[in-house]
Amino acid sequence: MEIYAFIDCKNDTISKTSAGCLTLGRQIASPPNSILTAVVPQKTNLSVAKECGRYGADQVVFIKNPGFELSSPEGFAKVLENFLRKKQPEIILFPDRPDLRDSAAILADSTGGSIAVDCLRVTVGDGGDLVCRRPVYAGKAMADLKLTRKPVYITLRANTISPIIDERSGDIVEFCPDLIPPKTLKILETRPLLSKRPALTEARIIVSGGRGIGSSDNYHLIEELADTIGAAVGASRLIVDAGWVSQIHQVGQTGKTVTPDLYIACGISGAMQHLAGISSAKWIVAINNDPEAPIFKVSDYGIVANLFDIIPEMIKQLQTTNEQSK
Amino acid sequence: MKIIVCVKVVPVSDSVIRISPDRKTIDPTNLKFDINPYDEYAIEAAVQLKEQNGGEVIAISVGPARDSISLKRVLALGADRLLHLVIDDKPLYDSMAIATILAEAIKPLSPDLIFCGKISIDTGNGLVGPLLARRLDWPCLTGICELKFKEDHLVIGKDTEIGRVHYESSLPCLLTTDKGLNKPRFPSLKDIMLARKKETIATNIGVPEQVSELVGLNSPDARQVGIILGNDIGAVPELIRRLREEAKVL
Repeated sequence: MEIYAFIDCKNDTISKTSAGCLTLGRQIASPPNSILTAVVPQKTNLSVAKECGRYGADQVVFIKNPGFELSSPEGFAKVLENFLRKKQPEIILFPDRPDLRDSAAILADSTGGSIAVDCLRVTVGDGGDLVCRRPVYAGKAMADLKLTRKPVYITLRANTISPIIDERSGDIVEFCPDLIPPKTLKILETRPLLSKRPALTEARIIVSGGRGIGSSDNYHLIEELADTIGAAVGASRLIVDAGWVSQIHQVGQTGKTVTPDLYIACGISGAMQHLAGISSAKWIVAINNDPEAPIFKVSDYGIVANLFDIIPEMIKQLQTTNEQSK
Repeated sequence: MKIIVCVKVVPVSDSVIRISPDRKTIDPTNLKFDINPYDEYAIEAAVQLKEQNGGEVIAISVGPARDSISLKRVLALGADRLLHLVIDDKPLYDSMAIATILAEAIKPLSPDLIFCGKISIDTGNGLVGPLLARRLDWPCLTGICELKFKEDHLVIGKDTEIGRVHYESSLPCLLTTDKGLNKPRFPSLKDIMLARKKETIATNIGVPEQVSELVGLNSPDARQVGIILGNDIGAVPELIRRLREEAKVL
Protein backbone atom coordinates (compact mmCIF):
# COMPACT_ATOMS: atom_id res chain seq x y z
CA MET A 1 0.00 0.00 0.00
CA GLU A 2 1.20 3.49 -0.76
CA ILE A 3 -0.07 6.48 1.16
CA TYR A 4 0.48 10.12 0.25
CA ALA A 5 0.00 13.04 2.60
CA PHE A 6 -0.12 16.60 1.38
CA ILE A 7 1.83 18.94 3.65
CA ASP A 8 0.95 22.52 4.43
CA CYS A 9 3.87 24.70 5.56
CA LYS A 10 4.21 28.08 7.18
CA ASN A 11 7.55 29.71 7.96
CA ASP A 12 9.48 26.52 7.22
CA THR A 13 7.49 24.41 9.70
CA ILE A 14 4.81 21.92 8.78
CA SER A 15 1.34 22.74 10.10
CA LYS A 16 -0.04 20.76 13.01
CA THR A 17 -2.83 19.39 10.82
CA SER A 18 -0.29 18.22 8.24
CA ALA A 19 1.68 16.47 10.97
CA GLY A 20 -1.69 14.98 12.02
CA CYS A 21 -2.12 13.69 8.45
CA LEU A 22 1.24 11.91 8.69
CA THR A 23 0.22 10.39 12.03
CA LEU A 24 -3.10 9.31 10.51
CA GLY A 25 -1.23 7.84 7.55
CA ARG A 26 0.84 5.66 9.89
CA GLN A 27 -2.26 4.65 11.86
CA ILE A 28 -4.16 3.36 8.84
CA ALA A 29 -1.19 1.95 6.93
CA SER A 30 -1.64 -1.73 6.30
CA PRO A 31 0.75 -3.48 6.40
CA PRO A 32 2.21 -1.10 9.00
CA ASN A 33 5.46 -0.66 7.10
CA SER A 34 3.71 0.62 3.96
CA ILE A 35 5.43 3.60 2.41
CA LEU A 36 4.15 6.99 3.51
CA THR A 37 5.15 9.85 1.24
CA ALA A 38 4.88 13.53 2.16
CA VAL A 39 4.10 15.91 -0.72
CA VAL A 40 5.43 19.37 0.12
CA PRO A 41 4.98 22.56 -1.89
CA GLN A 42 8.44 24.02 -2.13
CA LYS A 43 8.12 27.55 -0.98
CA THR A 44 9.87 26.31 2.11
CA ASN A 45 13.30 25.24 3.18
CA LEU A 46 14.28 21.65 2.38
CA SER A 47 14.77 21.11 6.13
CA VAL A 48 11.02 20.47 6.45
CA ALA A 49 11.72 17.02 5.00
CA LYS A 50 13.35 16.10 8.33
CA GLU A 51 10.26 17.30 10.16
CA CYS A 52 8.06 15.16 7.90
CA GLY A 53 10.30 12.20 8.74
CA ARG A 54 9.87 12.85 12.42
CA TYR A 55 6.10 12.36 12.11
CA GLY A 56 6.38 9.18 10.10
CA ALA A 57 7.13 10.06 6.45
CA ASP A 58 9.42 7.57 4.73
CA GLN A 59 9.99 9.85 1.80
CA VAL A 60 9.35 13.39 0.69
CA VAL A 61 8.45 14.84 -2.70
CA PHE A 62 8.77 18.57 -3.28
CA ILE A 63 6.53 20.40 -5.68
CA LYS A 64 8.35 23.29 -7.31
CA ASN A 65 6.58 26.45 -8.45
CA PRO A 66 3.40 25.96 -6.48
CA GLY A 67 1.16 29.06 -6.56
CA PHE A 68 -1.92 26.85 -6.48
CA GLU A 69 -3.48 28.72 -3.56
CA LEU A 70 -4.58 31.21 -6.15
CA SER A 71 -5.33 28.75 -8.90
CA SER A 72 -8.81 27.47 -9.59
CA PRO A 73 -9.40 24.07 -7.93
CA GLU A 74 -9.39 22.16 -11.20
CA GLY A 75 -6.09 23.80 -12.13
CA PHE A 76 -4.35 22.51 -9.05
CA ALA A 77 -6.12 19.16 -9.31
CA LYS A 78 -4.72 18.68 -12.84
CA VAL A 79 -1.22 19.32 -11.56
CA LEU A 80 -1.49 16.72 -8.83
CA GLU A 81 -3.35 14.30 -11.08
CA ASN A 82 -0.43 14.03 -13.51
CA PHE A 83 1.81 13.27 -10.58
CA LEU A 84 -0.48 10.81 -8.78
CA ARG A 85 -1.28 8.86 -11.96
CA LYS A 86 2.31 7.74 -12.10
CA LYS A 87 2.35 6.71 -8.45
CA GLN A 88 -1.08 5.11 -8.02
CA PRO A 89 -1.34 5.48 -4.24
CA GLU A 90 -4.36 3.93 -2.50
CA ILE A 91 -4.81 6.68 0.08
CA ILE A 92 -4.21 10.42 -0.25
CA LEU A 93 -4.54 12.62 2.85
CA PHE A 94 -4.96 16.40 2.93
CA PRO A 95 -5.30 18.94 5.73
CA ASP A 96 -8.84 20.28 5.38
CA ARG A 97 -8.75 23.75 3.83
CA PRO A 98 -11.33 25.09 1.36
CA ASP A 99 -8.99 25.14 -1.64
CA LEU A 100 -7.50 21.72 -0.90
CA ARG A 101 -10.97 20.27 -0.29
CA ASP A 102 -12.13 21.41 -3.74
CA SER A 103 -9.04 20.04 -5.44
CA ALA A 104 -9.19 16.74 -3.55
CA ALA A 105 -12.80 16.25 -4.72
CA ILE A 106 -11.90 16.89 -8.35
CA LEU A 107 -8.90 14.56 -8.04
CA ALA A 108 -11.05 11.84 -6.47
CA ASP A 109 -13.47 12.10 -9.37
CA SER A 110 -10.85 12.21 -12.11
CA THR A 111 -8.93 9.24 -10.71
CA GLY A 112 -12.10 7.19 -10.18
CA GLY A 113 -11.84 7.16 -6.40
CA SER A 114 -13.93 8.24 -3.43
CA ILE A 115 -13.70 11.06 -0.91
CA ALA A 116 -14.63 12.08 2.64
CA VAL A 117 -13.92 15.65 3.76
CA ASP A 118 -13.59 17.38 7.13
CA CYS A 119 -12.90 14.09 8.90
CA LEU A 120 -12.38 13.88 12.66
CA ARG A 121 -11.02 10.35 12.67
CA VAL A 122 -10.51 7.40 10.38
CA THR A 123 -10.58 3.72 11.23
CA VAL A 124 -9.99 0.56 9.24
CA GLY A 125 -13.30 -1.32 9.08
CA ASP A 126 -14.11 -4.97 8.42
CA GLY A 127 -12.80 -5.99 5.02
CA GLY A 128 -10.17 -3.27 5.08
CA ASP A 129 -12.36 -0.39 3.90
CA LEU A 130 -11.71 2.92 5.60
CA VAL A 131 -14.49 4.36 7.76
CA CYS A 132 -14.37 8.12 8.22
CA ARG A 133 -16.17 9.98 10.97
CA ARG A 134 -17.24 13.49 10.00
CA PRO A 135 -19.67 16.06 11.37
CA VAL A 136 -23.02 16.63 9.63
CA TYR A 137 -25.60 19.28 10.46
CA ALA A 138 -22.61 21.36 11.61
CA GLY A 139 -21.81 18.88 14.36
CA LYS A 140 -25.33 18.13 15.59
CA ALA A 141 -24.66 14.58 14.38
CA MET A 142 -21.64 12.54 13.34
CA ALA A 143 -21.72 10.42 10.20
CA ASP A 144 -19.58 7.32 9.71
CA LEU A 145 -18.88 6.92 6.00
CA LYS A 146 -17.29 3.88 4.42
CA LEU A 147 -15.25 4.68 1.34
CA THR A 148 -15.67 1.77 -1.00
CA ARG A 149 -13.71 2.82 -4.03
CA LYS A 150 -9.97 3.35 -4.30
CA PRO A 151 -8.05 5.60 -4.41
CA VAL A 152 -9.41 7.11 -1.24
CA TYR A 153 -9.10 10.85 -0.61
CA ILE A 154 -9.51 12.17 2.91
CA THR A 155 -9.30 15.72 4.24
CA LEU A 156 -8.56 15.98 7.94
CA ARG A 157 -10.02 18.72 10.10
CA ALA A 158 -7.60 20.88 12.09
CA ASN A 159 -7.02 20.09 15.79
CA THR A 160 -8.42 16.57 15.63
CA ILE A 161 -5.51 14.11 15.46
CA SER A 162 -2.55 14.95 17.69
CA PRO A 163 0.70 14.42 15.81
CA ILE A 164 2.78 11.56 17.23
CA ILE A 165 6.52 11.37 16.75
CA ASP A 166 7.48 8.27 14.75
CA GLU A 167 11.01 8.79 13.46
CA ARG A 168 11.46 7.76 9.84
CA SER A 169 14.01 8.75 7.25
CA GLY A 170 12.06 11.43 5.37
CA ASP A 171 14.36 11.04 2.36
CA ILE A 172 13.89 13.56 -0.40
CA VAL A 173 13.17 11.39 -3.41
CA GLU A 174 11.83 13.70 -6.05
CA PHE A 175 11.32 17.23 -7.23
CA CYS A 176 8.43 17.82 -9.54
CA PRO A 177 9.76 20.50 -11.81
CA ASP A 178 6.96 21.57 -14.07
CA LEU A 179 3.92 21.78 -11.86
CA ILE A 180 2.63 25.11 -13.05
CA PRO A 181 -1.15 24.99 -12.96
CA PRO A 182 -2.93 25.67 -16.24
CA LYS A 183 -4.43 29.14 -16.18
CA THR A 184 -8.15 28.76 -16.58
CA LEU A 185 -8.76 32.03 -14.83
CA LYS A 186 -6.87 35.29 -14.88
CA ILE A 187 -5.83 36.78 -11.56
CA LEU A 188 -6.45 40.53 -11.63
CA GLU A 189 -5.29 41.61 -8.19
CA THR A 190 -4.71 40.40 -4.66
CA ARG A 191 -5.48 42.47 -1.61
CA PRO A 192 -3.47 40.88 1.19
CA LEU A 193 -5.05 40.41 4.57
CA LEU A 194 -3.71 42.90 7.07
CA SER A 195 -4.53 40.71 10.03
CA LYS A 196 -1.76 38.60 11.51
CA ARG A 197 -4.22 36.54 13.55
CA PRO A 198 -4.58 32.82 12.89
CA ALA A 199 -7.39 31.52 10.66
CA LEU A 200 -10.59 30.60 12.52
CA THR A 201 -10.69 27.01 11.34
CA GLU A 202 -7.07 26.38 12.33
CA ALA A 203 -6.81 28.47 15.49
CA ARG A 204 -5.89 26.85 18.80
CA ILE A 205 -7.73 29.60 20.68
CA ILE A 206 -10.71 31.67 19.53
CA VAL A 207 -12.19 34.73 21.25
CA SER A 208 -15.69 35.37 19.94
CA GLY A 209 -18.17 38.20 20.42
CA GLY A 210 -21.97 38.35 20.28
CA ARG A 211 -24.76 40.81 20.78
CA GLY A 212 -23.59 41.45 24.34
CA ILE A 213 -20.78 43.66 23.01
CA GLY A 214 -23.49 46.24 22.30
CA SER A 215 -22.15 47.79 19.10
CA SER A 216 -19.49 47.42 16.44
CA ASP A 217 -17.39 50.03 18.27
CA ASN A 218 -16.80 47.56 21.09
CA TYR A 219 -15.52 44.67 18.97
CA HIS A 220 -11.99 45.96 19.59
CA LEU A 221 -12.29 44.43 23.08
CA ILE A 222 -12.64 40.99 21.49
CA GLU A 223 -9.63 41.71 19.27
CA GLU A 224 -7.50 42.97 22.14
CA LEU A 225 -8.19 39.91 24.27
CA ALA A 226 -7.47 37.70 21.23
CA ASP A 227 -4.16 39.45 20.57
CA THR A 228 -3.12 39.09 24.21
CA ILE A 229 -3.27 35.29 23.88
CA GLY A 230 -2.52 34.86 20.15
CA ALA A 231 -6.09 33.87 19.32
CA ALA A 232 -8.34 34.18 16.28
CA VAL A 233 -11.46 36.35 16.50
CA GLY A 234 -14.98 35.03 15.97
CA ALA A 235 -18.51 36.40 15.93
CA SER A 236 -22.10 35.26 16.29
CA ARG A 237 -24.45 35.35 13.31
CA LEU A 238 -26.44 38.12 14.92
CA ILE A 239 -23.62 40.66 14.94
CA VAL A 240 -22.51 39.64 11.43
CA ASP A 241 -26.04 40.14 10.09
CA ALA A 242 -26.19 43.46 11.92
CA GLY A 243 -23.09 44.49 9.99
CA TRP A 244 -20.88 44.95 13.06
CA VAL A 245 -18.13 42.65 11.75
CA SER A 246 -17.25 40.90 8.49
CA GLN A 247 -18.89 37.57 7.72
CA ILE A 248 -15.45 35.91 7.50
CA HIS A 249 -15.52 35.82 11.33
CA GLN A 250 -18.91 34.10 11.70
CA VAL A 251 -18.91 30.91 13.77
CA GLY A 252 -21.81 28.43 13.60
CA GLN A 253 -23.83 26.37 11.19
CA THR A 254 -24.09 29.17 8.62
CA GLY A 255 -20.55 30.30 9.28
CA LYS A 256 -17.52 28.27 10.23
CA THR A 257 -17.53 25.13 12.33
CA VAL A 258 -14.51 25.37 14.59
CA THR A 259 -12.41 22.97 16.67
CA PRO A 260 -10.09 25.02 18.88
CA ASP A 261 -8.59 23.88 22.16
CA LEU A 262 -10.20 26.93 23.79
CA TYR A 263 -13.26 28.94 22.75
CA ILE A 264 -14.04 32.09 24.73
CA ALA A 265 -17.63 33.24 24.07
CA CYS A 266 -18.18 36.86 25.12
CA GLY A 267 -21.75 38.17 25.16
CA ILE A 268 -22.95 35.21 23.09
CA SER A 269 -26.21 33.72 24.34
CA GLY A 270 -25.71 30.46 22.40
CA ALA A 271 -28.27 29.94 19.65
CA MET A 272 -28.60 26.33 18.52
CA GLN A 273 -26.75 26.94 15.26
CA HIS A 274 -23.88 28.63 17.11
CA LEU A 275 -23.55 25.85 19.69
CA ALA A 276 -23.42 23.27 16.89
CA GLY A 277 -20.49 25.10 15.33
CA ILE A 278 -18.43 25.04 18.55
CA SER A 279 -19.45 21.62 19.87
CA SER A 280 -16.05 20.10 19.09
CA ALA A 281 -14.07 22.76 20.95
CA LYS A 282 -12.08 21.11 23.75
CA TRP A 283 -12.74 23.84 26.35
CA ILE A 284 -15.43 26.52 26.28
CA VAL A 285 -15.49 29.64 28.44
CA ALA A 286 -18.64 31.80 28.56
CA ILE A 287 -18.83 35.37 29.75
CA ASN A 288 -22.41 36.62 29.79
CA ASN A 289 -24.53 38.67 32.16
CA ASP A 290 -27.58 36.45 31.64
CA PRO A 291 -27.30 33.38 33.92
CA GLU A 292 -30.01 31.65 31.83
CA ALA A 293 -28.07 31.95 28.54
CA PRO A 294 -27.86 28.53 26.81
CA ILE A 295 -24.12 29.00 26.31
CA PHE A 296 -23.59 28.15 30.01
CA LYS A 297 -25.04 24.66 29.39
CA VAL A 298 -22.12 23.78 27.13
CA SER A 299 -19.32 25.79 28.71
CA ASP A 300 -16.69 24.36 31.03
CA TYR A 301 -16.13 27.63 32.87
CA GLY A 302 -18.54 30.52 33.11
CA ILE A 303 -18.55 34.00 34.53
CA VAL A 304 -21.98 35.61 34.93
CA ALA A 305 -21.05 39.27 34.65
CA ASN A 306 -20.76 42.26 32.39
CA LEU A 307 -18.17 41.55 29.71
CA PHE A 308 -17.06 45.21 29.79
CA ASP A 309 -15.73 44.55 33.30
CA ILE A 310 -14.39 41.05 32.70
CA ILE A 311 -12.56 41.38 29.38
CA PRO A 312 -10.37 44.40 30.34
CA GLU A 313 -9.53 42.64 33.61
CA MET A 314 -8.58 39.47 31.74
CA ILE A 315 -6.38 41.45 29.35
CA LYS A 316 -4.71 43.21 32.29
CA GLN A 317 -4.00 40.03 34.25
CA LEU A 318 -2.89 38.05 31.21
CA GLN A 319 -0.52 40.85 30.15
CA THR A 320 0.96 41.06 33.64
CA THR A 321 1.65 37.34 33.83
CA ASN A 322 2.93 37.29 30.21
CA GLU A 323 5.48 39.95 31.16
CA GLN A 324 6.46 38.13 34.33
CA SER A 325 7.16 34.95 32.42
CA LYS A 326 9.40 36.78 29.91
CA MET B 1 -27.60 34.54 -20.76
CA LYS B 2 -28.87 31.18 -19.56
CA ILE B 3 -28.13 30.68 -15.89
CA ILE B 4 -28.63 27.55 -13.79
CA VAL B 5 -28.93 27.68 -10.01
CA CYS B 6 -28.56 24.45 -8.05
CA VAL B 7 -30.65 24.51 -4.89
CA LYS B 8 -31.01 22.14 -1.96
CA VAL B 9 -33.70 21.98 0.72
CA VAL B 10 -32.31 21.40 4.23
CA PRO B 11 -33.53 21.49 7.85
CA VAL B 12 -33.27 25.14 8.99
CA SER B 13 -30.22 26.04 11.04
CA ASP B 14 -32.00 26.24 14.41
CA SER B 15 -33.31 22.66 14.07
CA VAL B 16 -32.79 20.06 16.76
CA ILE B 17 -31.47 17.00 14.93
CA ARG B 18 -32.68 13.62 16.23
CA ILE B 19 -31.24 10.43 14.81
CA SER B 20 -33.77 7.75 13.80
CA PRO B 21 -33.54 4.29 15.46
CA ASP B 22 -32.10 2.81 12.25
CA ARG B 23 -29.17 5.28 12.63
CA LYS B 24 -29.26 5.93 8.87
CA THR B 25 -31.68 8.86 8.76
CA ILE B 26 -32.79 11.75 10.92
CA ASP B 27 -36.25 12.01 12.41
CA PRO B 28 -38.21 14.49 10.23
CA THR B 29 -40.95 15.06 12.84
CA ASN B 30 -41.15 18.72 13.85
CA LEU B 31 -38.32 19.66 11.50
CA LYS B 32 -38.73 22.85 9.49
CA PHE B 33 -37.21 22.77 6.02
CA ASP B 34 -36.11 25.63 3.81
CA ILE B 35 -33.72 26.51 1.01
CA ASN B 36 -30.08 26.08 2.07
CA PRO B 37 -28.92 29.57 3.21
CA TYR B 38 -25.89 29.65 0.89
CA ASP B 39 -28.14 28.81 -2.09
CA GLU B 40 -30.12 32.01 -1.47
CA TYR B 41 -27.01 34.01 -2.41
CA ALA B 42 -26.74 31.88 -5.57
CA ILE B 43 -30.37 32.60 -6.54
CA GLU B 44 -29.96 36.32 -5.87
CA ALA B 45 -26.73 36.48 -7.92
CA ALA B 46 -28.39 34.71 -10.85
CA VAL B 47 -31.51 36.88 -10.74
CA GLN B 48 -29.45 40.09 -10.54
CA LEU B 49 -27.41 39.08 -13.59
CA LYS B 50 -30.60 38.29 -15.49
CA GLU B 51 -32.15 41.61 -14.53
CA GLN B 52 -29.07 43.44 -15.82
CA ASN B 53 -28.38 41.45 -18.96
CA GLY B 54 -31.53 39.56 -19.84
CA GLY B 55 -31.82 35.81 -20.20
CA GLU B 56 -33.27 33.05 -18.12
CA VAL B 57 -32.72 31.58 -14.63
CA ILE B 58 -33.47 27.88 -14.24
CA ALA B 59 -33.40 26.38 -10.74
CA ILE B 60 -32.59 22.69 -10.30
CA SER B 61 -32.95 20.70 -7.10
CA VAL B 62 -32.31 17.06 -6.20
CA GLY B 63 -34.35 15.93 -3.23
CA PRO B 64 -37.39 14.11 -1.88
CA ALA B 65 -40.97 14.96 -2.91
CA ARG B 66 -41.67 16.95 0.27
CA ASP B 67 -39.09 19.56 -0.84
CA SER B 68 -41.62 20.83 -3.42
CA ILE B 69 -43.24 23.08 -0.79
CA SER B 70 -39.97 24.84 0.13
CA LEU B 71 -38.88 25.00 -3.51
CA LYS B 72 -41.79 27.27 -4.43
CA ARG B 73 -39.86 30.06 -2.79
CA VAL B 74 -37.11 29.73 -5.41
CA LEU B 75 -39.60 30.91 -8.04
CA ALA B 76 -40.82 33.76 -5.83
CA LEU B 77 -37.18 34.83 -5.42
CA GLY B 78 -36.95 35.29 -9.19
CA ALA B 79 -36.06 32.01 -10.90
CA ASP B 80 -38.08 31.58 -14.13
CA ARG B 81 -38.63 27.87 -13.86
CA LEU B 82 -37.85 24.95 -11.62
CA LEU B 83 -36.71 21.42 -12.29
CA HIS B 84 -37.18 19.14 -9.28
CA LEU B 85 -35.39 15.81 -9.60
CA VAL B 86 -37.23 13.70 -7.07
CA ILE B 87 -35.38 10.96 -5.16
CA ASP B 88 -36.33 8.70 -2.23
CA ASP B 89 -36.58 10.35 1.15
CA LYS B 90 -33.12 9.23 2.23
CA PRO B 91 -30.37 11.77 2.71
CA LEU B 92 -27.80 11.47 -0.05
CA TYR B 93 -24.36 11.81 1.53
CA ASP B 94 -22.45 11.07 -1.66
CA SER B 95 -21.63 14.33 -3.46
CA MET B 96 -20.43 12.43 -6.52
CA ALA B 97 -23.86 10.85 -6.98
CA ILE B 98 -25.51 14.30 -6.74
CA ALA B 99 -23.03 15.72 -9.26
CA THR B 100 -23.81 12.85 -11.64
CA ILE B 101 -27.55 13.58 -11.45
CA LEU B 102 -27.07 17.32 -11.91
CA ALA B 103 -24.60 17.00 -14.78
CA GLU B 104 -26.97 14.76 -16.71
CA ALA B 105 -29.86 17.17 -16.24
CA ILE B 106 -27.83 20.28 -17.01
CA LYS B 107 -25.90 19.17 -20.12
CA PRO B 108 -28.91 19.29 -22.49
CA LEU B 109 -29.78 22.80 -21.27
CA SER B 110 -26.35 24.16 -22.34
CA PRO B 111 -26.22 27.08 -19.90
CA ASP B 112 -23.64 29.90 -19.85
CA LEU B 113 -23.23 30.03 -16.11
CA ILE B 114 -24.00 27.84 -13.09
CA PHE B 115 -24.35 28.95 -9.48
CA CYS B 116 -24.38 26.69 -6.43
CA GLY B 117 -24.27 27.58 -2.73
CA LYS B 118 -20.78 27.18 -1.23
CA ILE B 119 -21.88 24.37 1.06
CA SER B 120 -25.12 22.82 2.29
CA ILE B 121 -25.69 23.12 6.01
CA ASP B 122 -26.91 19.50 6.34
CA THR B 123 -24.22 17.20 4.93
CA GLY B 124 -21.67 20.02 4.92
CA ASN B 125 -19.45 18.70 2.14
CA GLY B 126 -19.30 21.67 -0.22
CA LEU B 127 -18.23 19.37 -3.05
CA VAL B 128 -21.13 19.39 -5.51
CA GLY B 129 -20.01 22.64 -7.16
CA PRO B 130 -16.43 21.62 -7.99
CA LEU B 131 -17.52 18.07 -8.91
CA LEU B 132 -20.23 19.34 -11.25
CA ALA B 133 -17.72 21.69 -12.88
CA ARG B 134 -15.40 18.75 -13.45
CA ARG B 135 -18.14 16.66 -15.00
CA LEU B 136 -18.88 19.51 -17.43
CA ASP B 137 -15.17 20.25 -17.86
CA TRP B 138 -15.77 23.87 -16.82
CA PRO B 139 -13.60 26.13 -14.69
CA CYS B 140 -14.97 26.89 -11.23
CA LEU B 141 -14.38 29.17 -8.29
CA THR B 142 -15.79 28.34 -4.89
CA GLY B 143 -16.99 30.60 -2.07
CA ILE B 144 -17.13 33.84 -4.06
CA CYS B 145 -18.07 37.09 -2.32
CA GLU B 146 -17.96 39.66 -5.16
CA LEU B 147 -19.27 39.44 -8.72
CA LYS B 148 -19.54 41.83 -11.65
CA PHE B 149 -20.41 41.15 -15.27
CA LYS B 150 -18.47 43.26 -17.76
CA GLU B 151 -19.45 42.96 -21.43
CA ASP B 152 -18.29 39.40 -22.04
CA HIS B 153 -16.53 38.32 -18.86
CA LEU B 154 -16.99 38.11 -15.11
CA VAL B 155 -14.92 39.79 -12.43
CA ILE B 156 -15.02 37.67 -9.30
CA GLY B 157 -13.81 38.35 -5.77
CA LYS B 158 -12.96 35.57 -3.35
CA ASP B 159 -11.50 35.56 0.16
CA THR B 160 -8.54 33.21 0.37
CA GLU B 161 -5.93 32.42 3.02
CA ILE B 162 -3.78 35.30 1.82
CA GLY B 163 -6.50 37.88 1.30
CA ARG B 164 -9.14 38.88 -1.21
CA VAL B 165 -8.27 37.87 -4.76
CA HIS B 166 -9.97 39.23 -7.86
CA TYR B 167 -10.27 36.97 -10.88
CA GLU B 168 -11.43 37.44 -14.42
CA SER B 169 -13.28 34.56 -16.02
CA SER B 170 -14.92 34.07 -19.38
CA LEU B 171 -18.11 32.04 -19.75
CA PRO B 172 -19.05 29.31 -19.23
CA CYS B 173 -18.02 28.83 -15.63
CA LEU B 174 -19.38 27.55 -12.34
CA LEU B 175 -19.38 29.68 -9.20
CA THR B 176 -20.30 28.76 -5.63
CA THR B 177 -21.55 31.58 -3.45
CA ASP B 178 -20.59 32.66 0.06
CA LYS B 179 -22.37 34.87 2.54
CA GLY B 180 -21.63 38.53 1.83
CA LEU B 181 -21.94 38.25 -1.96
CA ASN B 182 -25.32 40.00 -1.93
CA LYS B 183 -28.43 40.50 0.19
CA PRO B 184 -31.11 38.00 -0.86
CA ARG B 185 -34.40 39.82 -1.46
CA PHE B 186 -37.67 39.26 0.35
CA PRO B 187 -40.26 38.31 -2.25
CA SER B 188 -43.20 40.72 -2.50
CA LEU B 189 -46.77 39.50 -2.60
CA LYS B 190 -46.69 40.13 -6.35
CA ASP B 191 -43.56 37.96 -6.69
CA ILE B 192 -45.33 35.19 -4.80
CA MET B 193 -48.43 35.45 -7.00
CA LEU B 194 -46.33 35.50 -10.18
CA ALA B 195 -44.40 32.45 -8.99
CA ARG B 196 -47.58 30.37 -9.08
CA LYS B 197 -47.75 30.78 -12.85
CA LYS B 198 -44.15 29.71 -13.40
CA GLU B 199 -43.28 26.27 -14.72
CA THR B 200 -42.27 23.51 -12.31
CA ILE B 201 -41.31 20.10 -13.61
CA ALA B 202 -40.92 17.29 -11.09
CA THR B 203 -39.34 14.07 -12.38
CA ASN B 204 -38.73 10.91 -10.41
CA ILE B 205 -35.20 9.67 -10.83
CA GLY B 206 -33.06 6.82 -9.51
CA VAL B 207 -29.91 7.44 -7.51
CA PRO B 208 -26.74 6.46 -9.38
CA GLU B 209 -24.01 4.27 -7.90
CA GLN B 210 -22.49 5.71 -4.72
CA VAL B 211 -18.81 5.45 -3.89
CA SER B 212 -19.28 6.04 -0.19
CA GLU B 213 -21.70 4.29 2.09
CA LEU B 214 -23.29 5.67 5.25
CA VAL B 215 -22.47 3.17 7.99
CA GLY B 216 -24.43 5.11 10.59
CA LEU B 217 -25.17 8.39 12.30
CA ASN B 218 -24.12 9.06 15.88
CA SER B 219 -24.87 11.77 18.39
CA PRO B 220 -21.92 13.97 19.22
CA ASP B 221 -20.36 13.44 22.63
CA ALA B 222 -22.49 15.26 25.17
CA ARG B 223 -20.75 18.13 26.89
CA GLN B 224 -20.64 18.23 30.66
CA VAL B 225 -22.21 21.30 32.17
CA GLY B 226 -19.32 23.19 33.67
CA ILE B 227 -19.02 25.50 36.63
CA ILE B 228 -19.76 29.17 37.18
CA LEU B 229 -16.64 30.73 38.64
CA GLY B 230 -18.29 33.93 39.83
CA ASN B 231 -20.22 37.04 38.93
CA ASP B 232 -17.63 39.82 38.99
CA ILE B 233 -13.98 40.53 38.19
CA GLY B 234 -12.99 38.55 41.27
CA ALA B 235 -13.56 35.42 39.18
CA VAL B 236 -10.89 36.35 36.62
CA PRO B 237 -7.79 35.04 38.48
CA GLU B 238 -9.53 31.70 39.09
CA LEU B 239 -10.50 31.48 35.40
CA ILE B 240 -6.94 32.14 34.28
CA ARG B 241 -5.55 29.68 36.83
CA ARG B 242 -7.91 26.93 35.66
CA LEU B 243 -7.21 27.58 31.99
CA ARG B 244 -3.49 27.25 32.75
CA GLU B 245 -3.45 24.41 35.25
CA GLU B 246 -6.59 22.36 34.60
CA ALA B 247 -7.30 22.85 30.90
CA LYS B 248 -3.63 23.64 30.10
CA VAL B 249 -4.67 25.76 27.13
CA LEU B 250 -3.01 29.07 28.06
